[in-house]
Amino acid sequence: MRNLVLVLLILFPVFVRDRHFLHILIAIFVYVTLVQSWNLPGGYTGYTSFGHVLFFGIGAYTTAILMVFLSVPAVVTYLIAGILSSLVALIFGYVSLRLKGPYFAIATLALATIGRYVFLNVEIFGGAEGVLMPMSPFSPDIEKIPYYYGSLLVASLTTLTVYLITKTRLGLGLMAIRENEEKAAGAGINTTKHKVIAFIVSAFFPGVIGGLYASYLEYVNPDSCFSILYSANILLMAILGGIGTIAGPILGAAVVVILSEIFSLVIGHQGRLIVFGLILTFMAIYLPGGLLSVKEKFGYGKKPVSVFDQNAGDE
Amino acid sequence: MDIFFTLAQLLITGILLGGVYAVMASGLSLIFGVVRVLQISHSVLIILGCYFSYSAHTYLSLDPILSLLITMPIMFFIGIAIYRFVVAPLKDAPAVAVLLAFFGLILALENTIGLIWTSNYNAIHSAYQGKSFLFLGFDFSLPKAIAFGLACLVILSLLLFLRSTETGRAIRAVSQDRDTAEILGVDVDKIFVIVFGISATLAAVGGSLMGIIYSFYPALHWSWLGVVFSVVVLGGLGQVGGAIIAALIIGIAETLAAYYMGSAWGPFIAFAILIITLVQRPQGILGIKGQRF
Repeated sequence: MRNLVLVLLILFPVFVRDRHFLHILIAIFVYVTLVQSWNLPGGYTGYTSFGHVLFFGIGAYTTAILMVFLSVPAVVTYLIAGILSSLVALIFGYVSLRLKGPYFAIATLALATIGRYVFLNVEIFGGAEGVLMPMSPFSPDIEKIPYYYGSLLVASLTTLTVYLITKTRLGLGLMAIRENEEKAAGAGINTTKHKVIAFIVSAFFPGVIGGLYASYLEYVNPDSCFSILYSANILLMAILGGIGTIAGPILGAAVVVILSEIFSLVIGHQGRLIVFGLILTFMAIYLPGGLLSVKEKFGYGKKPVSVFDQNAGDE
Repeated sequence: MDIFFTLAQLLITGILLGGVYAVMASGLSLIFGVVRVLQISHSVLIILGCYFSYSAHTYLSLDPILSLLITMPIMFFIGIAIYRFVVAPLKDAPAVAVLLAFFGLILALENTIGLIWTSNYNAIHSAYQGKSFLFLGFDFSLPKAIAFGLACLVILSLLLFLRSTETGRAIRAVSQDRDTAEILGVDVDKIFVIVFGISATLAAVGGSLMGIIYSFYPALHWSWLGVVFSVVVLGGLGQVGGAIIAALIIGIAETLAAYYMGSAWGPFIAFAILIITLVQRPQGILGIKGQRF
């Protein structure tokens, strides 16, 4: 089943050249990357970030600046974007040593906002207008295809990396931290090292995809690259699909991107966000385990496990 | 001499602004102190109050401050609704789930405001807009002075209410020790309802005070979120007294930053103070653990 989907996705552009369809799939791949990488500290380790967009924005600006001012080849800039994002993630790691649960979430929201203000106010980043990037080297009828395969590759690598990590001792350590950080430390797990690795990995992929998406759109500006809507979408997709699962981010990203398209046509941009907001609130209250937990909630299947750190809210 | 005069003038402006920030943050501080949840949708309620005053002024020609007589009761019930439909069902849920629910509420409310009043800038053209007066050689903006005066009045009434009424004492009791208060016969659920109602009412006041000082648009509440949280965290979570001092500090810091670094850096300061306080001094400036109000 999994391989079939992947083969179909690889063959898709051979049969379908419709620009709009390709764009929707690229958006889904970008979000799979963002949610999957958010999930490593957010779902498996219990450090819910409300500011994951920061890494996407840093990646986008890195690629824009390197391509425009230093004419670095696009693919090289993606890697540098990922590495720079990972370096910035050390700040998240540092914050996670001091703050947990809701306080960590507030701090990450503040950090992402600070990022937006820095790119808005420091002159070399182009202010509110941002940076215009070189035109795509590909002809218009095939220009989306390289980005299609690029984002599919990054999304797959992110999913694979997170999956492999959860199967190792590192992943088990992260989940132990989620269940009870003090006990995990007591059991001999180096919690600091575990968390720092989780944040570095989780920032690398959004940095890469941010760079790729920037070269796809051919411009960056603070309001689009650091938009709170990215963080909101990530949270909505994660909770819809199932926090702390591998299939969850893929399901969540696909559902929310497709719903976005439909709702935008039917009830407009603001109507869509009202509905998404209400869905997020509803999910957090009644279905925190995600859409797939419905059958477990109604009496068959295994008992749903709370994905949040139960101790995080205590002082 | 000129430098000192400018500095004194900036301090005055900062303190006037800080007074309004104190009202904006007081509701958030109250909820954290009593119910122990981080109400991140508080700033959206403030901007909702702002738009209520705007409509009352535009369509009913009511003075934005007088319009509070109508908007405060409406906001009281909105606060209660938020408690009933979002907070109460999550009573035993992890704190992050509550935060996610509030985050959804922010999206829904911000875009509802945008749908009703558009996402563009609006301003309340009150009778005192743009006027100023000289006092002791310093320039006072009339809307800011009025807002500060009213802010002081509201904060004093809140403190008086908490100190000397039966309900106020019950609120403080729940804040100090929920279980003991319950054993002594305090209806904790009722206190939570009242606290959410009062908090939203305070947001209405904060909103119309901001509305007479500045122009506004729906997404502006994100920078107010930084302001109210930095005030509450710097003041010490749940401590109303600390929050007042912190509000003045944030007001002054923001005014100084806007003047010396450029106006776009103003909102940045609040977020920077928030993050530094959270990481370096989570107990706040006063830093007295356990003592509240």
